[in-house]
Amino acid sequence: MLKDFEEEMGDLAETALSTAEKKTLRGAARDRLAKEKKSVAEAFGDQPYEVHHRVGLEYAHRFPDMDINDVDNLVALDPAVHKRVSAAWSYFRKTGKDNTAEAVKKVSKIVDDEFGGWFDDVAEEGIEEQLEAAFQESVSRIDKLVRT
Amino acid sequence: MTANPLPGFDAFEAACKQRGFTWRPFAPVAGAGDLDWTPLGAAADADLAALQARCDGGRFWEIDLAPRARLLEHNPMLRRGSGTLPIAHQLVVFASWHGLAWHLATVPALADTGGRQPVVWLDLYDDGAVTPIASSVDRCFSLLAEHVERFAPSPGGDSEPAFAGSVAGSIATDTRLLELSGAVPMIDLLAHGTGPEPWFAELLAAARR
Repeated sequence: MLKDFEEEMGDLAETALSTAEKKTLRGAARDRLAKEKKSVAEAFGDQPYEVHHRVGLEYAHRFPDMDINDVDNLVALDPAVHKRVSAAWSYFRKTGKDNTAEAVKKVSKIVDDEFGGWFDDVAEEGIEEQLEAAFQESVSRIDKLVRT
Repeated sequence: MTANPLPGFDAFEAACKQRGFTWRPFAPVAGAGDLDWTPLGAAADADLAALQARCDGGRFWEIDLAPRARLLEHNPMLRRGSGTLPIAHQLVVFASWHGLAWHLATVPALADTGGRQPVVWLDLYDDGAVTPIASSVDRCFSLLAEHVERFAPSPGGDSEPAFAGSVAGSIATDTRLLELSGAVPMIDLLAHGTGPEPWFAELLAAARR
């Protein structure tokens, strides 16, 4: 049934996903990450983590040839890291310049560059300043990107 | 101190065990039942205090119930630094969907005279959209029990209607929750981000007709 759903998603490539569709895909992404990237469970143990799509579900319709739930597009983030990563993407959305696949890919690269060191691993205590610096650098690079 | 009965949590336990789902409570700690939320600027929820007397968090089906230390660490983190939601100060996150940025949070300002606080679904993937789901924590567990009994698939099984829209019929009977949805600060919470999930907006509109 999930496979049917994901195939149906392919047919809806020109349409942004609904809230319900995104919920189903997020649950499936969490399960796929746990199944295909065993190191995540080993790294986090009982520590909380949050699955993040490097290219977000809200942009899935701009990448019709991409499996948005491919494990290469999924990372596990400590909630404190995820909060800053989400803030960077939110900043990009608010610029109103997120309307092309190319811009989305570039921002995904910026987030990878600035936060990649914390992907799929527990964040150590006392990294607030580092996270803030990574966020500020992301915003600075997004500003430059949208001005070009 | 006599522990509050938690029939919803008991029903959730029975449903999970009947389905063979994870039920892994963490051992209670000293002083359990006297949950102190002073660092969070709020009075503790009565149902969660009763629950802490039984276990200091745990994994229940897909729900990670926060241990006391986690609760006092996670909420301040949500309230400081870049990316802070303006509504974070009005909520206390007490549980999360395992591996996902979906949270269950109470609204301390709307506690009843017995100290029970309503519960909202907080979706951090959707810019912190809030959907009210229960007038108390234990009622929230009743909804989870119903969802597990009726909809949750076996591991690797078919997809499901997502919680909490899957149990909207029961939420529609929670008259206190619907009343609170017209009160400050719930009005502010509902206006945040992309707003509540469509099923709740429909339910609320029907209740007000």
